[in-house]
Amino acid sequence: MKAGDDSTEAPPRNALSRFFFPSLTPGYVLRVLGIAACAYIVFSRVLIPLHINGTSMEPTYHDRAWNLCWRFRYRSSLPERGDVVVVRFAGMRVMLLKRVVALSGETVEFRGGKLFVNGEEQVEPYVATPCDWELSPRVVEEGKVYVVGDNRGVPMANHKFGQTSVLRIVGAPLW
Amino acid sequence: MKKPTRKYLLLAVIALGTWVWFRSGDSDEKRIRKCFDRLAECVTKPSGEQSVMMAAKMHNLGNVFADTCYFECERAMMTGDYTPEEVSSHAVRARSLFGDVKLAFYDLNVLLSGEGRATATVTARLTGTMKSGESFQETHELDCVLAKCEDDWRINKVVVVQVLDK
Repeated sequence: MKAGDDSTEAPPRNALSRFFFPSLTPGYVLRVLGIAACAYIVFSRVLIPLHINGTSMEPTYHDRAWNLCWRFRYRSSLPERGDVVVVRFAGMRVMLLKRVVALSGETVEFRGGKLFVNGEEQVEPYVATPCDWELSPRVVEEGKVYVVGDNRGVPMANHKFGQTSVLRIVGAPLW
Repeated sequence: MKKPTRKYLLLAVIALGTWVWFRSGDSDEKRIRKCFDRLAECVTKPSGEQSVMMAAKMHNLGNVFADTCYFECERAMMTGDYTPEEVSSHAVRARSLFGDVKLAFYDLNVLLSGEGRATATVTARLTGTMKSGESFQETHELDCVLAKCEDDWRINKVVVVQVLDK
């Protein structure tokens, strides 16, 4: 800075102070409100924060991990076999994270812990734990998909899975 | 403080005041929300709960339900019409299995249909520890019907929605 120069350039301490404690100008208030509104819209409508609670998707998704639900994932397409989807209950504060294993019209069954779709054994590289699940064949109804968690190491009775309406799928995890 | 800043602050205070006034109103929807809050409070059992507290909660639980409430909950082996007393005794038996249990409601959507009736859809989450030390977690979507009884809302029907059908 030149001697005697009254330019707007402030000393580092003042700049830092102004950054953390800015003067409450209308422009500043509007900027803050704008950012808050954008953040609210993005994180309540587009990318919903997910806190994974439970081990039903181990080892793909770990208990107590964080993720984001990408709401537009199925805006123009339907879930496919192998997709991980987010299924809602009454709203979007508590949701289920599951993998689609069969589509509507397909027959799904578990035989000796192996997944069969339309009578064909499925290769499931995402399943790490062997299991002994037995489930008689059943046809997935129209407008529904069959979802199961990746963690098959728990007894079948304790694992929440089954067919659910496509309308309940609100998106997919971002990563 | 500059005049424009004061103007913005005044607008913010007015908006906040309007929001507080709106929230503090005692509408039917708010009473229904309170009804679910009471239900959650009555079912919730902290570890080491005193029997006096339990008796008070079970008495209050009866006040949440209408004279006859229809339940459709196979998991809890409750299907059919129940009186508030029957619901309370069922709750006492169920609570005795737990060391501690917490019931919480999320995403409550209320639809007032007039003539003192309302429907509500809600996610109910029950978490706790069994007496055996095993942790417990259940989440269900509930479809409820409520009826207005003397300025108060009581639950008249509870149906557990099958989100996943094996």
